[in-house]
Amino acid sequence: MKFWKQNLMVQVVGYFLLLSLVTVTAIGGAAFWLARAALKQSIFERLSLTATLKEDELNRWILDQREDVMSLVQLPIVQSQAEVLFDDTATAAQSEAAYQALLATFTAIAINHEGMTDIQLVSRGGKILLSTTPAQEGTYQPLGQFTKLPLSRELSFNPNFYAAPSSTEPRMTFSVPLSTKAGQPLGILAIHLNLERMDTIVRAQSGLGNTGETYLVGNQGTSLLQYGFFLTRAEARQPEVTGEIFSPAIEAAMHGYSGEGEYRNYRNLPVIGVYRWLPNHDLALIAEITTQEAFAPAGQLAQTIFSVGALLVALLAIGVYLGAQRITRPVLAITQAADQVSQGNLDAYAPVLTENEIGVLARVFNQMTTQLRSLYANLENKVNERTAALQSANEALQQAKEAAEVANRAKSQFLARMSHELRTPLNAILGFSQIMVRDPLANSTQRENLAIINRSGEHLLNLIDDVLSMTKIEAGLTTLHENSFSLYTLLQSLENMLRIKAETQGLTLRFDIGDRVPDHIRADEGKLRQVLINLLGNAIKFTGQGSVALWVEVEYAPLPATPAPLPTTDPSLKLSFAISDTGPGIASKDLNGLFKPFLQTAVGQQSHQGTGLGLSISQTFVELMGGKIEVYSVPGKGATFWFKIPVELTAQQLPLELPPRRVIGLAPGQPRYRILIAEDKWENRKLLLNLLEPIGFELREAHDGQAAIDLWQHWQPHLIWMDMRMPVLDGYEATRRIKSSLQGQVTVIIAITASAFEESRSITLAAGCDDFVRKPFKAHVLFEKMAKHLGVEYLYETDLSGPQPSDPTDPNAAAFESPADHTVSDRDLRHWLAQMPTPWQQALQTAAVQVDADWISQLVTQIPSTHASLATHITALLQRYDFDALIALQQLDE
Amino acid sequence: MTKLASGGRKSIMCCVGDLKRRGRGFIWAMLGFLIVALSACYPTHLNTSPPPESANNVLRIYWNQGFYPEEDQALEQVIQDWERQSNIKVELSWYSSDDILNQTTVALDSGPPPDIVFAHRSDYTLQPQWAWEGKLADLTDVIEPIRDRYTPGVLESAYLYDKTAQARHYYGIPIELQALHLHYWRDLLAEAGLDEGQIPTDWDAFWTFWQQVQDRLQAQGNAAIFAMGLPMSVQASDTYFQLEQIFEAYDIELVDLEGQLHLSDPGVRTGLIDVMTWLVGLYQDGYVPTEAINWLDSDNNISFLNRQTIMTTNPSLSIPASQQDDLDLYFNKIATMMLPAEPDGEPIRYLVSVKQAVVFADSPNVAIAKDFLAYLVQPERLGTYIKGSLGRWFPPMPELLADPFWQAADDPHIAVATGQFTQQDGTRPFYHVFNPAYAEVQAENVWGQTMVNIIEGMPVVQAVDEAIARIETIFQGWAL
Repeated sequence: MKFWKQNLMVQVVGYFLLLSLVTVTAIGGAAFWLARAALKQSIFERLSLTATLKEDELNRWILDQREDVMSLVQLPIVQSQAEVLFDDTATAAQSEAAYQALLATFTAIAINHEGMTDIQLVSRGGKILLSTTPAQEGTYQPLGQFTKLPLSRELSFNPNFYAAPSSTEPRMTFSVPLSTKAGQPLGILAIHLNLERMDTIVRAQSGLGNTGETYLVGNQGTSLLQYGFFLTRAEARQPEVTGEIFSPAIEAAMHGYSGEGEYRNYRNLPVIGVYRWLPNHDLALIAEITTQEAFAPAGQLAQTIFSVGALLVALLAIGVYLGAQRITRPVLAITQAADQVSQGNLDAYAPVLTENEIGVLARVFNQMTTQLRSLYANLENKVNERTAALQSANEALQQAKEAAEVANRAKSQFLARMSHELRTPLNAILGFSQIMVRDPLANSTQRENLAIINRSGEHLLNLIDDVLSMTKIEAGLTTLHENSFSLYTLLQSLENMLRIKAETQGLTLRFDIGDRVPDHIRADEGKLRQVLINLLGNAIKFTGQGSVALWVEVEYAPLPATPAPLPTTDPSLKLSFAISDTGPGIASKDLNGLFKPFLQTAVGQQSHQGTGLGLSISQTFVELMGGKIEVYSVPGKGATFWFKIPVELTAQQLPLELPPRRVIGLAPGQPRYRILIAEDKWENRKLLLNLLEPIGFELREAHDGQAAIDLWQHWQPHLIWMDMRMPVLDGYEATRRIKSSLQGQVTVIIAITASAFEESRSITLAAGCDDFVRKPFKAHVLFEKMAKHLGVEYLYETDLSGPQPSDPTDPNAAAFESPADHTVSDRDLRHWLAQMPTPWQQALQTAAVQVDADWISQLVTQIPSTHASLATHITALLQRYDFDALIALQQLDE
Repeated sequence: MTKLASGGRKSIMCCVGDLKRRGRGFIWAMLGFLIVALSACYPTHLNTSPPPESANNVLRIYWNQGFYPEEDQALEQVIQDWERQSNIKVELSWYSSDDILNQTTVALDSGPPPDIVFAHRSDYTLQPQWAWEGKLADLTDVIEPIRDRYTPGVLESAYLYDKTAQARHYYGIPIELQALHLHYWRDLLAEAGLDEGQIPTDWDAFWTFWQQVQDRLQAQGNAAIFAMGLPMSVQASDTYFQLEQIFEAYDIELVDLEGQLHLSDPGVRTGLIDVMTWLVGLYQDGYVPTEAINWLDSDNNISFLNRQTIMTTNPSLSIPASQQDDLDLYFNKIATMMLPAEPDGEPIRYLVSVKQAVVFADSPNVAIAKDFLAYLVQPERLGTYIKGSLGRWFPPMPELLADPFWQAADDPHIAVATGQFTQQDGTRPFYHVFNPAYAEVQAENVWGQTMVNIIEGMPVVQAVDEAIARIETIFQGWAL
């Protein structure tokens, strides 16, 4: 099929063959049908002729029999002897003589006449008196069935067929009445006709070929439904036909019709036949020939035509093949040229072989290829130009991209370095200021100055953290760090932290926490705290008078009519926070850029406070937590910021985090731990030395990675504090080299990094460090890490004497007086402090000594509401970074 | 360049257009050629040749051939006289009883039909159907002048329904009557050591009696003798003539006076089963000749005359009539008797068939045909014709009975027949008079076929049910 579809030659020759075969078949078929029709007509004529001849013959034969019978009756001997025989008065001898004479005569005639089987003299009552078949004599005959011959030859008569009594054999009997000369009826002369002879006449010499047949069908009995019988003995007809004799021709003829047709005969063979009703004989004459024989010549003719036709088709096909080749060759040439063109060879040329349409096609094709060639050439040039332009543009873009990437990298590196560079000195500043505060020799003025240094350092650290947060946000490095915590504690600490500040500005700070707000949740505590501090801090900062309020509520939408108990089965819900103030509000023109970094509102710019990053960071954090900060503000009346974040409920009670205690030495029975400090900055090394040496550790210092490795090799320290950024060999590589040896596996290496990025933790751990501490670090963290990794046990401050008593004249003592509550006396404060649990007091002492504002805030939240004044007072001190006052308060308590 | 290319395209399009136009013209031309060729080849249809035309100036008569020359000669004489009187030529065709209905049917089918037909078996077979289909001429004006001369009830058989005219008219001229008679050989009875005084008149005993006669004769060595010549073939009309009479004897009412079928009546079906069982039993027990299932109407006559049967029924007096010349047979040996009383003891009612001459409506000579029939039924002519049958048929007019022929008290056969026809309330028409559909039942010989079916082995109940179903189907075909 594929071959057929793809090959023009095959199609041309194929179509020709197909059409030729159809034509030849059609001609053959037409010839067959025409010949068949002609044959049919001629056969009908032949059959008709035969039937006519047979009918005539039959009529003649019947008339002959009638003549014979009439002649017989008129024989003088018959007349005279019959009179004697029928005469009742005749003697037996006379009767016998007459009988013998008649019998002899009849017998002689019957023998010489094939048509007569029996000649009889029958009484008027039907009794046979004389018969050429003597056995019949004395029996009665059905006179009603006899065919009475009219005496006048001009009168017609109707022969009757009937079944002979006691058999079903068809029979025909001619009868003539006998009478005396005087006209007295005597009896009847009856002759049974030989129907076989009749049948023979009809059948013989039909001249209709092998299957031709002429036969008579008669009628007997009174039934109009069963009429058929053959005028012959059954045994003469082989194979015997059983059952009813039927064919359409017999049916039609027996109903008086004559005609011809094609039908199935009484043997159910397809035949062509002519049928005649012989009205005077009550007979049907039928002449038939099988269609097979009749139409054989037509089939022969069709076959011949088809054979010759097929032969001619084969010869013509060869001719067509050759002709088609001549036609298709130029087409194929064009096709090949077109194929070459399609494959890109525009120089392909279609040869012009003829002057006909195909020749025109070839010429036009060549013109087209020429045109195509020129178009192609132009196009190529243009493509080359465009490609070059595109390439240069691409290169420029690539360069720009690379430049941007370099710039970005440089920015990141710069920020990271800046972070390191800023934190490192700050670490020293804060650390030493704390150490110096602890110096019992420092007087109050020095302590105050140190506190200012410390607070300023912390403030600077906050500013750096803000910038770094922003940088991280811009770098897309901010991630969620979810933990479980107490929301109430968080809010309490915030309230405590901000109340004093608000009160100092004469503002009312209100925290309104819904009944159904859960305590224990899981979220990013740090980010939530920072967002709330930012928003509340802003509110306090920019509000001159009135109030600042925080609303916290559980978000349900829609809110049920009656407050349902909080679903404990559903661990996730949304918390809604709203911070509202009565400040100057935000102008609508500022609303658009409110959350953009480094932009400040008109009010903010006037205050010359802050970096302008707070709202931007907050918005980013809230979005990270799955919410969005929205603002509603009426300028001059105030502003409301609100956001919703999803949180998870945690059922577990958070373990109460014990406040760190101050380490003062190693517990007895401890080995002497060798600790290596690898740090390039002198001040930082000194800070660590000053922290650890008093405790009782054996310390060595290394100023770069290579020195650290060398020291490690022959000193074998238990633990290395490894700064990650060092000259010669950085901490990463040094750690990798140490950890790559078997000996190095037992050495604990804790990374100290000033990196602003949370991710540096995983990098250091990947380099082989056992743990990680971020600068600026807190002393208790260092001690805890060493306890964790080396199993170091410490002596804590409570084990020794309490804190120093403070000077009652200390001017700092005045600072203890809360601006909001001047009635609170130092005694009350001390009294309340004394009522707090001892570990809490110790923790507060340590936190104050360590200048750990967060810790102190946390501790403040644990103060019961009955001692709210205490909490307020400590928070106020904390706001001012007045850790010394805190320490003094406790010492006074002593 | 572009210009040149488009020029080339234009020339190609022209070529394609040309080709297309030329191609279409070629295809149309070829199609036209094909149509012409096909119509030239279409074979001529050949058919039946038309029937020959009839001559209009001749009265064509089909007449049932009699058994005796006297009967036929009497008609021929009437025709000769009428021809002379009317100056109209008559073409008379004699046909046997077996053939005449076929010939008439053929003539009706393929034309032309005869003007007058008289067939012994037409009244209970085809005549009601011809009337129903409107094929017969209304003969009321022939009947009217002689209406009162006919025996009451005879004209009912001629008063038939024409569906095309939606009316009843006289569609036949009653010629003669026919009823079932019973003959026996008095000498064979004597041979068996019995005499006719011993023949029971009780129904069951009557039939048993003849079986005893056969048994006795066979015991005496006459092996080829049978008690009863009862026709049982499909070909013989005698079969159903006799069966209808037996149904009457058993009071099995198949059709009521309103023409309604009663085959679904339980009594009717049971009665039919009983009768069939009894009759077939007689055949199977060897009391009926074996050939009876193949008999034509004349064959029971021949069988009786040839002394193969001791007793026979026959729906005409043809058996004794044919033997009038043989005085010994006629007066001594052959006896005719009435049928026995019905099984319930009541006197039997005889079914009477009325033989009629009809005229076809399509005949070109209806008026002439009526003239001829009016001429024929004048009592003196009709009487002569009927007497010509030697008593085989019975006259339909009481005045004809006045003839000494019918009053001869010494005639042992005619006296009995006269008694049958004239007994008070003792006759009944066939069912086809009440409903013409029953004529088709008789024409088909449904009951004869039933009997043959049973003899050939079909269970009686099934054969009767098939017959009932067939008759119901036939009646549906005749629904108005």
